[in-house]
This record gives sequence, structure tokens and C-alpha cells, in this order.
Amino acid sequence: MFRQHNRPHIFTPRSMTDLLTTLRQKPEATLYAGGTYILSNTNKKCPGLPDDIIHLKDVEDLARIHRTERFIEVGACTTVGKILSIGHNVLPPILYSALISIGTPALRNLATLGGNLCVPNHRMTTFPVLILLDARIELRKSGSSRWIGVNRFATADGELDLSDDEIVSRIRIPLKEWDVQIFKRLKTDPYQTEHSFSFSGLANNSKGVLTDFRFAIGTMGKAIIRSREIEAALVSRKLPLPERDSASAVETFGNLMESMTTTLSRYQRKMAFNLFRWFLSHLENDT
Amino acid sequence: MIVRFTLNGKDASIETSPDCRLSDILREEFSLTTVKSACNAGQCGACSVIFNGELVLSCLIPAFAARKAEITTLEGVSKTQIIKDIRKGFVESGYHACDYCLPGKLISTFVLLRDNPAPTGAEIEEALKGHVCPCSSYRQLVSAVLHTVQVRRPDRRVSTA
Repeated sequence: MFRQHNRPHIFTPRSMTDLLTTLRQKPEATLYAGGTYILSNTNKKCPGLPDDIIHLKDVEDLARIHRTERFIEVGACTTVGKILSIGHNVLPPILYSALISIGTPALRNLATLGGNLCVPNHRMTTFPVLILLDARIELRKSGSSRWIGVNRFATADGELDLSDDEIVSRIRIPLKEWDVQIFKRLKTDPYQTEHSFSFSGLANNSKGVLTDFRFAIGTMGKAIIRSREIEAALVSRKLPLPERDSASAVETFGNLMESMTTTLSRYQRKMAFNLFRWFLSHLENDT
Repeated sequence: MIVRFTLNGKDASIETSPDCRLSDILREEFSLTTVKSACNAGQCGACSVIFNGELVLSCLIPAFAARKAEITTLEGVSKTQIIKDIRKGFVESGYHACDYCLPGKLISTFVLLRDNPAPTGAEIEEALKGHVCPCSSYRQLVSAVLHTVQVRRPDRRVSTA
């Protein structure tokens, strides 16, 4: 009963070498890992996939997890469910919170970390968190590879720094200790809506002095909002934060939100403002 | 293309378009009607199946991705003791769901109890949150699963936390 035709054409490489060779020959092909983004974007009975698809399932190198004392390295085609099974005592808590906020358990058994990073039009969960954690990504193509920070993976206009013949192969996540790790995702149901956004924050203190302070807002669009100005202004301040420093940071953040009228809705700006103030209050309670 | 896989413990194959959804193939080609084609967007959970040992949404799996997979639907586990206990627990707790969403909930609960025989209330909520249907109360579903856990393990106290 289903129509028989030869499209899409499915390539199934069985090794990294095979994959990179195929990609060099077919740079216009669509890479297919978990496929949750591709197939959830249409609810048609026969979704009409791109003409050429490279199915990554059989490339074992893309689904490995390697752990040392300093970092965890995750293959780009490792499912979110498999990463979560490492456990919240091993994964950075902020990353665990971000991953478990993705969809539902059944969806997480299909969705991959690489896919979540490469979704073209939203940067909600893993992207901002991995930026704050100083994670790095390996990009490979036939004959070469390069590592870049996740913070450089998206260009200034929000596009991914990924050429047609390149793939995301591994993500390396440092296992640094943080005194405060928070991830909050605002949404009205398990799935994305236009008002969804995420707030991520990390902080460290030493002997009552704030030594590191980072935060980022992830959105349904291509933008990730981060202010190095606000972060730098609070680093080296004593805890608890003096009232004037706290108020200045809140005011600066408020001005930042007011400048984001085209990126965030009024509801999102208000919620982000409240979360930023809540994050500052956590510095004093948890560090 | 011809896709070969294992279905409910038996070898199966089908000639189909590579991009057809697994949910439709299971339902319409193999008459496994516990697999429902509802949202086709991975949002309602009615198409849930076990795929290589894990719970997945079959509407998000195209035919080509099912090659060599081990697929189990509710029909494939309906005679197991776990499912019998779940059905009994649901009935005893007074939980009623429509026939459209119930199979997905049953197989999700099966996977939960297979992997975690004594889940807490929070773990049940997390495991079953992907089932969206207005026919019944989500809180009643969680209570029904808690009751099922008690039925299966009467010697242990069930945590409702």
C-alpha cells in the first residue's frame, strides 16, 4: 500500500573512513542520526525526506563515550538517553539537567547530542550549557579534523561553522568542579513552544570571593544571550555580594533584556530577569 | 527498498518506501493495531514501541532506520507476567484510559517496571510524562502504576515521593 520509489537514497557507511568518503562525494546529502528533528518537523504520513541521506547508525566511533578524570568525550551520535545513563553523579549536574529536559524518555532514546547541537533553528538546551562548560567539538572531514570551542561553533549571525563536507564527531566536556550549577528551562509542555527558553548559570568561589561567574540564555531561535560585561563585573567580588554590586548587575541585565525585544518576548524577558535575580541569590546561599 | 527486522520475536520483512514511518508500517502492514498513528510528531506517546530494547516513538523512525532492529509492540509482551500485573493493577486502582492511548501507556509502564521494579512516584512521573491524552487524569495514571508496584511487590513499601 505504500508507494514504491527509489527516493530517498540511503547511504549506510560502516566506518568513519567510509562515512567521510561518502560525505566528500555527496556533500549535499543529509546526515541522519536519531532523526527526531527531521521527522518531527512534519506530521505527514510519508514525511518526504531529502533525496540523499547518510544514515550514521552503523558508525560505531560516533556513539562511544570515553571518560577520564578531566573530561568526558561523547560521540556525536550517542543518544541523550545513553548519556543520561552515565548518571548524575558523573555528568556535570547542569548538563544532566539540560539533557533530561529534552522531550520525554522515549524521545531521548532516539535524539543524539550531535543532533541537538546541529538543529538549525534553536539553541535551547545543550548549546548554552556546553558553552558555559567550555566544551569543545571535533569537526572532521576527509583528510582532516579540527577542534573548536562550542562557543565558536555558531558564527555571529547564528549559523553553524560547519562546512558541507564536515561532520561533528565528538564533544569533549571538561569535568571541572563548580560550586553553583543551575539550569532552568521554561516551557508550557514537554515540547518547545515559541515562549520557551532556558537559563544556565555556573559560579565558583574561593575563600568568600567570587572567582568565576557565567550565565547564558538559550532560545527557540539561533541566539544565545550571554554578557561578558556582567560576568566580569561580578568576578572578584566578595560574597555575599554588596548591595550596590548586586543592584548594578541586575540593572545592567535589565537593560540587556530591554534591548532584546526582537529576540525575546515580553514574557521571556520578564522570566529571564527573575531567573537572573534568583541566580544571584543562589550565589550567596550555595557558595 | 526491502527492510528486514525482528518483530515480536520473529523475523519480518517488508518492501516499502524508505521514508515511511515505522508506526504506519507496524499498524497497516502487520496489523499491530496497538501502535497508534496520532500526532506523527513524537509528542503524544501513542506510537510507543520497544526498539532494540529501548522505549522509542515509532512515528519518528523511518523504514530505513528499522533495518536489522529488534522491535516489540504491546502484542509481543501481552502474555508476560509484568503486563498481566499492570492490567490488574490498573483495574484494581480504578484507572480507565481510552483504547487509543492505553497501549502506549501499558508498554511504557512495562519498560519502566522491567528496568526498575520499584520506582518512586517521581520516577513514574518522569517515565510516563510523554503520554498526552485528555481521556484520563495523569495523577490517576501515576497512582495506578504505584498500585501495580505494590501488587507486584507486596513485601516492600512503595515510596510515593
